[in-house]
Amino acid sequence: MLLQIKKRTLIVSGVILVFALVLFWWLLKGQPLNISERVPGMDDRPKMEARSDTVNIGEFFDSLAEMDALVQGDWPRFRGVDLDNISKDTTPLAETWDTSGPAIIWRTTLGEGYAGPAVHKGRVYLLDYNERKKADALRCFSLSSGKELWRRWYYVDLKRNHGYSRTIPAVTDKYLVTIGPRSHVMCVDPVTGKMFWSIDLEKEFGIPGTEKGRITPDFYTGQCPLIDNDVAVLAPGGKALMVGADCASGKILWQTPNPDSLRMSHGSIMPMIIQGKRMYVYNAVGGVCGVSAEKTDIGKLLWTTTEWSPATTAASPLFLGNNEIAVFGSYGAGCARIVINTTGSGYSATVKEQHKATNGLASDQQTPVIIGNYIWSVLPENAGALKKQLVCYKKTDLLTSVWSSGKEYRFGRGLGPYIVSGDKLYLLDDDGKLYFYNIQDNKVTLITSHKVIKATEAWGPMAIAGKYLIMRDSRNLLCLNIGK
Amino acid sequence: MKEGNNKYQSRRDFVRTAGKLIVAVPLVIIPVFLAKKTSASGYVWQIDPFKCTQCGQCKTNCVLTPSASKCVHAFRMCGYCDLCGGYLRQGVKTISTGAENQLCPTGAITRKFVEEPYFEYTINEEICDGCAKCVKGCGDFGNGSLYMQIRHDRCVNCNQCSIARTCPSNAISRIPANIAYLPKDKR
Repeated sequence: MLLQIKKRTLIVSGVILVFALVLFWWLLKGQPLNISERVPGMDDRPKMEARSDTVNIGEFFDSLAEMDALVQGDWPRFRGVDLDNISKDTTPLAETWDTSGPAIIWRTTLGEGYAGPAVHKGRVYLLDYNERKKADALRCFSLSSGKELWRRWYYVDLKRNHGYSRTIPAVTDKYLVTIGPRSHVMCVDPVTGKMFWSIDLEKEFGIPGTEKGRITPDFYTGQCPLIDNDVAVLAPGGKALMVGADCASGKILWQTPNPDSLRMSHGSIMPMIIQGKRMYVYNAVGGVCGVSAEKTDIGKLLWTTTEWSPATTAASPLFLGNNEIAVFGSYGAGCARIVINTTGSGYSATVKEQHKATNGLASDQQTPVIIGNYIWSVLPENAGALKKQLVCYKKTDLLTSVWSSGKEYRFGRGLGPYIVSGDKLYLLDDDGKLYFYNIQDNKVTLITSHKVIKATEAWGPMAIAGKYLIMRDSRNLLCLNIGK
Repeated sequence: MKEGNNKYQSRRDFVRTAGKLIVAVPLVIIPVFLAKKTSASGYVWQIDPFKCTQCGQCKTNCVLTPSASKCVHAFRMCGYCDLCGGYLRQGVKTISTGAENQLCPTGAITRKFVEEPYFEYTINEEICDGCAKCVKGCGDFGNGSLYMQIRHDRCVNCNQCSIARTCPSNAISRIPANIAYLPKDKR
C-alpha cells in the first residue's frame, strides 16, 4: 500500500516537474508573437489647428460679360425651393430622349470639386476653386448661354483633399450667400456681385487649441448655407452651434450655445415643423439638434441627442412625419429614426431605431428624396446585396426596401446625385451616365439612359431650372436641355 | 562563278535542304515552347484586384498561416486621408492610432503624418493576415488604393490553389511568372 502511494507520488511529481520545465523553457524563449502596443500618437500627428492666415474674403471682382437672354427657371439653393430636391417648375419636360440624348446647351471647365449650382432669375451661381490662383471664386453664368458674367473671388490656400469645392450657394432676390471650403462666408448682391459682408467662421467661432473647436471638417466644408427671411442661418459648431446673420449687415442676430461641443458636418441645416414648432434641424458631428426657427425664441436650442453620432455625415436630415426625422451617416454607418417629443419644459429627442447600411436605408453622400410615402436613395458601396442600387423604402419602415433597381442596375460607386421633377427622376452615376426614370408610386421604370460625359466623380448635386438640367463632374459643368 | 565553290549542286538540292529545315525547326522549337508554357514554374497564382470582393476567404483558405495573400498599397491612388476608411473602424469617435480605432485586427497598417492634412499608410506584410477588412474599408468610400495580392516570396504555388478553388468571384487565376503581380494603379 505504502509502495503504491509512493509510486503515485513519484508519477505526479514527475508530471509536475516536466510541466514546470516546459513552462520555464517557454518563458525563457520569450514572447511567441511580436506584439507591440497600439496607442494614440504613433502617427506623429502634430496639434492640428485652424490656419492663422488672414483671408480677405471677397477681395476681388471681375466683370466678364453683359447678361444676355433672361430665361425662366429657379433652383435657388441646395435641394431647391422647398429643400426636397423636387423641381416644381411647370415647364414641360421631354418624355424620352432619342439616341443622342439631351442636348448639351453649354459646358464650362471648373476647378476640381463637387460644388453644385444654384439658379435664380436666369443666372447660375457656383462657388468654384481656382487651383492655379489658389482662390475661392463665386462664378455667375448666364443660364441660357453659359457665358460667365462675373466672378467674385479671394485667395485662400487649400491642398487637394478629394477635390476642393463642395457647397451650393443660397440665393434670393436681394442676397447671395456662400460658404467656402475653409468656412469663409460671403454675402453679395446676386445681380451685380457687389460685396455686402463676410465672416470667417473659423476665426469667429473656432476655439483655438481644442480639437472640437476646429470648425472646418475633414475634406473641407460641405454645409450649404440657408437664407431664411433674409437671415443667413449657419451651423459653425465650436463656440456656437448655430448662428443667424442679418443678410443686410452681416450682424450676428442670434447664436445658439453648443453645450455638447457638436461640430460642423458635411450636412446642411433643414427647416422643419415638428410638434407644431418650426425648427432648424442639423445633423452635426457628435449628435443631432433642433434649434428654434420662430421669432419668439429664435436660436434657442430645443433638443439635442448624442445617441446618433457617426464619425462623418454628408446627407442632411429628412422629416418623416409623425414628429420623426431620419438622419444618415457615411462610411456604412447607416441611418437612424429619431422621434421628437414634447416634455414639460420643452422637447426631447430619442433614437427610435438605427441600422447599418447593410440592413436598410442609407446614404453616404446624397440626401435621399421623399415622394409621398416613400423615400428614394442610392445605397452606398457597403450596403450588401443592394449596394449601389436605386432603392425605395416606405417612410414607416426604413429596414425593408419595397423596390430596388436590381443588380443589373448599380450606379457607379453609389455616390452620384438624383433629382425629381413631377413623375420624372433623373439619376447621374459617378461616371457621367444619366438615367431617366418614370416614377409610379413606389417603383420606377427606366425610360432611357445616356452617357452625357466621360466623367470622373460626378458627385455634385444637380439642379433643374425651367427646361434645363445642370450637372457637373469633378471638372466640368454642363447645362442640358431636358425640355420637350 | 566557279562550279566547285557552289554549296548547292542544283536548285533541286537547295529546295530539298530548305524543306528539311522548314520541317525540322518547328519540330524542335514547338515542344520546347509547349514544355515551357505548361511548366508550373512559368505561372503563378494572382488576385485580380478589380474582381476581388474582399470576402475574407484569402485569410482562411490559404495553406499557409498567415496567408500568402496580403494587402498592398497603391500609393499613387491613395488620397492620404486623415479620416481613412481602410485604417479606421466605422464610427470612430477619435481619429488616432489607438488600437480601439484601428480596423486592422493585427495592427499591420502603420500611419504616419506627412503634412496637414495628409497621412501615409504602409502595410507590414509580416503581420498582415490577409483578412481584407482594410481593402473593403478603403473601397467603400476612399479611392480603393488598398488591394489584395498574393505575395510570391511566401506563396508555395500549389498546383491547385486552395483559395482559388473557393474564391466566390473567381478573382484568382494563373498568370505568367514574369508578370507575377497585377498592380491596381498600372491598369
